This record gives sequence, C-alpha cells and structure tokens, in this order.
Amino acid sequence: MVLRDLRPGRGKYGLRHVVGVVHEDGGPGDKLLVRTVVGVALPGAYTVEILRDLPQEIAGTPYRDFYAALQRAAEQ
Amino acid sequence: MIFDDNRAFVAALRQSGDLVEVEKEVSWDLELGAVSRLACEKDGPAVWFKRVTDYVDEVSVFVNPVATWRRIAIALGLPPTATVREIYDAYEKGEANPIDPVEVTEAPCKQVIRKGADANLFDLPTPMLHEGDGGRYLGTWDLVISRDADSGWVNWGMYRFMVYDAHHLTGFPRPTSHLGKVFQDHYAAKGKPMPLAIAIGTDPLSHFAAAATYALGGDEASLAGGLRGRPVEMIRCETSDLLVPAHSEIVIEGEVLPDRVGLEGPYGEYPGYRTGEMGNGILFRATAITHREKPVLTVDATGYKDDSSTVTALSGALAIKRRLARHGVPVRDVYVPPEGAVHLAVMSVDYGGQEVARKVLQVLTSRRALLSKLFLVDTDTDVFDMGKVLHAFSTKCHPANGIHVIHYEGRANTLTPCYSQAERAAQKGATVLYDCTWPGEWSREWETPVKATLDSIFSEEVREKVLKNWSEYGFKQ
Repeated sequence: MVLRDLRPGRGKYGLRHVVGVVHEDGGPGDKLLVRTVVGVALPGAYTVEILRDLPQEIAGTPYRDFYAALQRAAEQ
Repeated sequence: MIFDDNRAFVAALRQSGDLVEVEKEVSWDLELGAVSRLACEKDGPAVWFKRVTDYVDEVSVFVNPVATWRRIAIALGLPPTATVREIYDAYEKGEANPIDPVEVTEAPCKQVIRKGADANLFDLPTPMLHEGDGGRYLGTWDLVISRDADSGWVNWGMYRFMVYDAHHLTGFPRPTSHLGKVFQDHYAAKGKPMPLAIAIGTDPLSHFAAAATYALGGDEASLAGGLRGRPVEMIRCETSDLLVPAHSEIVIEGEVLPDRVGLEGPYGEYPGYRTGEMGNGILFRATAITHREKPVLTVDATGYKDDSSTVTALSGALAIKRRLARHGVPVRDVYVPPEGAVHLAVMSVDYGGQEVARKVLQVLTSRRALLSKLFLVDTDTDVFDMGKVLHAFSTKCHPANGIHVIHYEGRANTLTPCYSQAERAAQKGATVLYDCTWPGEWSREWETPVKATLDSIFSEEVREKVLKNWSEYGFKQ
C-alpha cells in the first residue's frame, strides 16, 4: 500500500510504499487515516502495522497499472 | 511596463493595490491554501506570504499571480482597468511578433546550487493546498521545459507535480498533452529517461507562454519574447543541457523515468473539483535544485476562478478563433469566461445555422476535447457580456433544433467533473453546442424577430437624440 507520512514537519505528506496489515478496529500499529479515491476521509479507528518498506521507484509502465506494479514489487 | 522577473511584477502589484503582503506566520499545511482559495473566490488580490511555518526567513510563497483580469492587464503592461478586449488585442499583438530567447552565462537562479542528495524537495514550502489532496503540489504556477529527443523541439508547458519524497515528484501531464506525447513517443518507447526542468517564479509573461494553448511544435520561449517585447534570457541547467529562464526564483532539474510509475493525485483542479480518476502518474527524479537567495515559491491556489481561468481562457479563446477561421467558420469573437472553468466558450459568427454549428463542433473536438459547452451567437451579442449571452441563449436557442451534440472517445477532458469515473478512464465524453443564432433560411424582413433594444428597434435619428439628451433627462450615467 501507499502511505502518506502525517508526522509534522517539513517531510509531512511524503509518500512511502510498504507491505503492511490494516486493522479496522483499533488494533496494533500506527494510527491510520483512510481516504477514498476522491480524498474523502472515512470514519473508523484504523491502524496499520508496517511489515516492510518497498522501493520508492517501482518498475512499471508510466501512466499504467501502478497498483499492479506495486503488487509485483511486494512479491519479489 | 514589462517585467524581467517575478519580484518586479510583485512590486507593480503592490503599487496598483493588487497585492496583500501577509506578515503573520502562516502554515503551509492547509492554512495557506485556504486563505489563497478564498482570495480567488472573492476576486481578491494576489497574496505574498512572507513567513511560512517550518521555512521562516528561508523561502516565502507568492500566490495567485494573475487570477484577475486586472493583474493580467498589469502583467501585459496595460492599465489595470483595461477591458478584456484590450487585453486580447495586446496578447494577439505580442503573439504575432515572436522574439527568440538569448543565452546568458550568469543568472540570479544560480545563486544557490544543490545537486544530488543535497537537492531536497522538502526544503521548499510546497503547500498542502486542499484538505484530502493526494499530496503537496508543486508546479501549479510553473514553467516545465522538455525537449523532443528526435526533432530537438523544446516545449514549455505548465504542469502540476506532487511531492513524492525528498527526491521524487509524480505528475500527470495528460497523455494527449505535448509533454505527455513527447515523453511516451520519444523517450518511454525507447527506454530513455527524459530530462526535464521545472522553473518556478519567473516573469509573468513567460508563465503565460508556458500555459498558452499553442500548436505542437510551437516555440513558447519566442512567444514569451513576443509578449514581453524583448527576449527571455536563458541559462543552461547544471545536470542537463536544457535552458531555463535566468530570472527564475527556483529551478528543479531532473528526469522522468521511462520504466517507473508513481501514484499521483487526487487533486482539486481548475474545474473547481477534485476528481478521482488519476492514480497512474509519471515519476520524476530530481538531480539538482538551484534558486535565488531567499527564493519566492509561486503557487496557483487551483480551483474555481484560479489563474487558469484567465490565462488559459485568454490564449485558449484566441487559439479557438484562429482554428475556426482556418476551417472557414465565419467567426468574429471568442470568449472563455472565467466562471466557466475553461469548459465553456462563447463565439460570435457572421452567420450561424446547422452547418456552421456542426462544423464548429467538429473542429473543436477533433484532437483534444477540453471544452464541453459551446454557445454560438450572432454578432449583435457581445460575447464578453455574459448577461447578453444568457439573453441570446434564452430567447434564440431552439430547445429542440438548436442543440447539437458530438460524442467522442480517447480525447475527452479527464478533469470534467460531470463524467463518470469509467468515462474519464476511457477519455470518453461529449460536447454540446447551443446555437443561439437565427436560422439562415429565415427571411430577415418577414420572419426574423426584431430585437427590442435601443440599438436595434429605433431609428438612428431617435437613438442619437436620446443619447445626446441623456443627461438632460436627469440620468447620471
């Protein structure tokens, strides 16, 4: 998945590619704010456990299939 | 007066009363965006945020450079009260007399040079403009320079970029845009990275040229020279052989990767909405950042009545006029009103009718179909007066015979909010033309209604008498 780092400071909103587990019921991990494709925040006590980071430069075809490329990177 | 850099333009806005200088510290995280958005919606002045949280005394932010016709007029060296028609005339004059740029070896934009790992994108106070955007957007008021690897043609454009991390940006120049086409056809297809330079905060007319609707193969640097009446000074990049405007506040150099993809958006765009169609962007790796001492980051608070509603509307209207004339349409004037978010155009023609209406639709949707609503009016309707346009639409457009629609796929505007996500993905859409002209086959003497206005329904003798005595009747205006 792709996370935005919400810690305050100059690097806020930086993107991070990770493999992680999302909990919808306030489980272990860091607090997670989930937004839809049009940017609307969903209600709920989400958390995320980050298992590992993926590279920032993901191999793939520009303009196409970002999530398929991210999936491939996670499976490597 | 024509300006060599952004700072001289800011000084002119201060003098004309078209600038607010905010000394209070403002956060780049939503606060700056909210203030700037409201300023646009109120047709307010440009804003210079002097103290931005996390970047105080390092970088300031100048927002909404030319979001009103007053500021457009000032940028073009006209009085701020110039009419839209006078602004069009000044632009057309500059456009018709291009001046090639000149290369220099020293430049303000090289006062600070950071390369490689030292080129950190988080050192710029790129604002989070709207709550819920996919990230912080840089390049909302920029000038992006690229070169066609095969022909050598240099393209200037204005494209948004989202800060991905300290060294990467993602962008979504439309695949049908000049940059999108050159990247796909001449770099990605060959597995080559495309050098790119993003110049921020240069003189206003160079940004106009970058944002202009201009033919593929057109030279925007010479257009900028023509608008300015003198050449743009250019200097070579540190990490590529691209040339950038010497008087830029900030230049970000780098390359678009041919075999990498990044997530881009969503973002509240110029139509005034945030649509969710984007996701697959292009990935840019920064190789250097150069800038002036204490640089000023220029930003457009994108949304309803932003800078594109004047700049893109201006060059777009003139491009439409040229294109229609080239295809034999008897066009007189074209206006793209700021309130229409570059989705709506009004055009007057010497004569209308079904044939002209269909031709207009075909010509304006054959390659890229950015406009979805067109109003065709007779020359007795002033296209710049939306009240008169609405009157013509209400009274002259036949509700069954006067509405023409064309459908297309693969070239629709993916930012048009009324399209479904499936339509946007397929670039599928439609354009409607409202024919507000009298049918050509109606007899002017026997069938065409007579307009009941002073200009039309009274004899010249009566008109002259009334106008001559107007103040004597007791009217002040």
